[in-house]
Amino acid sequence: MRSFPPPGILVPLKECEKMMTAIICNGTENKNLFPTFIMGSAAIALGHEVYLFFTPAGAPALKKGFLEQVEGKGMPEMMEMVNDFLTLDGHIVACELCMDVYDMTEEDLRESVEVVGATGFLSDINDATITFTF
Amino acid sequence: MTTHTLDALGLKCPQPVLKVAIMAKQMQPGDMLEIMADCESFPEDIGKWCTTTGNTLLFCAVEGDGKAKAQIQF
Repeated sequence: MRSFPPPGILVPLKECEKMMTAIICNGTENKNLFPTFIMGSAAIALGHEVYLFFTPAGAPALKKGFLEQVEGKGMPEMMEMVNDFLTLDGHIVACELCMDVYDMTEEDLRESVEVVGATGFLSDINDATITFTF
Repeated sequence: MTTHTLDALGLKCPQPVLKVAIMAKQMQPGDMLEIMADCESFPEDIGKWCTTTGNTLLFCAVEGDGKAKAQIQF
């Protein structure tokens, strides 16, 4: 059986398959939001494909205007981090159940947010090798 | 070959490396990027970023006032 690449041939990291990181955000407090976006930004800077999934408990943070109010002493600037994360094609997804829980429509959420079901999300992050929950 | 600069002074972890990753998208092979940053973890972070992404960290020096200057070749 032939293996690829052949033994002894180093493949530059740039050409390796993309790593994937999935982060679950389970609340709307600073202790949920900062680690979600800090770890997500660090992972996307390293070239990972990154999914930030907001459960119904975290999804209100994705309402228009919410993240703009988030600030923490000694913490990075939240909106700059969010925008840079999106510039690098990071995914921000909300659990579809939150729509009924909070009587929200997709109009209430930031434009960049995708609404997904649990099965679709699990399928999307099938290749994730790093996961966090905050 | 072009030399680009990035002023990341005052930015907190992981923002300096995030800015580097964004600039990296427009770099051509051989281009240089000079970064100034004063986030404490930056020297270690940029070294690991270069290792992981396959770019060359030519140097990273921390000056007396805690400001680090790094140069990457793409």
